[in-house]
Amino acid sequence: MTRCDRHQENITALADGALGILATLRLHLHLASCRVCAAVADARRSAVAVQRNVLSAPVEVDCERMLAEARRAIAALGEPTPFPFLRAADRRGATPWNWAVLAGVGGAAATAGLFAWLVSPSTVLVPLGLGAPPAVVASKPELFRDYEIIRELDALEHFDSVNRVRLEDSRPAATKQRRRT
Amino acid sequence: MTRAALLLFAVIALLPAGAVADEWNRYGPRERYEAMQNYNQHRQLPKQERKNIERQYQRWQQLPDDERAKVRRNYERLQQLSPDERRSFERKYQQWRDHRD
Repeated sequence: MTRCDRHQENITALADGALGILATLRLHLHLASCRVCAAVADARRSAVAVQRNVLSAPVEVDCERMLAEARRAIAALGEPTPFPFLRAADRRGATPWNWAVLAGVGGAAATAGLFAWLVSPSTVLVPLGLGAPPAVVASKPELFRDYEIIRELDALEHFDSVNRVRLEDSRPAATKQRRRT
Repeated sequence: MTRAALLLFAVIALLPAGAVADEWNRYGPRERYEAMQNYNQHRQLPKQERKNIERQYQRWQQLPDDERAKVRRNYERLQQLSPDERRSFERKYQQWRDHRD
C-alpha cells in the first residue's frame, strides 16, 4: 500500500467524521502537497454533499389524499361480517357461491329438523348409553328386541301348516260364473 | 327374625329388576336402537293391538328353548320370502286362522 493509498482511506474516514484530530492534521498537510489526493478529497466531499442533500430533502406525501382513498376502500368492503365468504361474493357481484352456501346451511337445518321429527332424541341417545331406556323398555327389553318375532308369533309357530294351506279363490261369485260360461 | 325376612324380601324383589337391567346392558347399540324403534312403533298402536302383542310376549316367554329356536328359524324363512310370497303367506295365514277359530 502506497502512502497516498493510506491518505485516501483517511479521506473517506474524514468524510464520515470518523478521523481523529492528529490524523486529520496529517491528512490536511498531505492534501496541501498532493494534487491527486486533493482531487480525490474534493470528489469525495461533493459526493457526500449530494448524499446529504438527497437524504435531507423533504418527501412530499399527500396524507389527506391517502387517508381519503383508504376510507373509500374500507367503505367499499361494507360492514364487518362473521361470514367473510358472503361479503366476498357480494363484492364480486356473483351470487352462485353465496346461494350454494345458503342452500347448504338450509339443507343441513332441514335434515336436522326432519331427523328430530322422525326420530326422537332418545332413540339415538339411549342406544349409545347416553340415557336410560323408558321404564317399559327397561322392564321388558326382550319384547322390544324380538318385537317382530313376537308380533308374528302365531304365524311363525305354525309356519309349515300355514304354508300348506291352498288359497281359496277370493274373487266375487259373479266373476267366477262369467269365467265358467 | 323380622329383619332377616325383610332382607330376604328385598333380595327377591330386586333380583329380577337387576337381571332385566343386566339384560338391557348386555345388548349392543344396534339391538338397543332396534328396541327403541320398536318401542316407538308399539306406542303408536291401538290399545287392543298392544294388548295382543303383550299376550304373545307372555306366550313367547313360556316357550321352551327349542321351540324358540324353531320360531327364530321360521322368522328367517319369512324374511327371505319375496314381497309376493309374503303377501301370499299372509293370506294363507288369514285363511288358516279363520278355519282354526
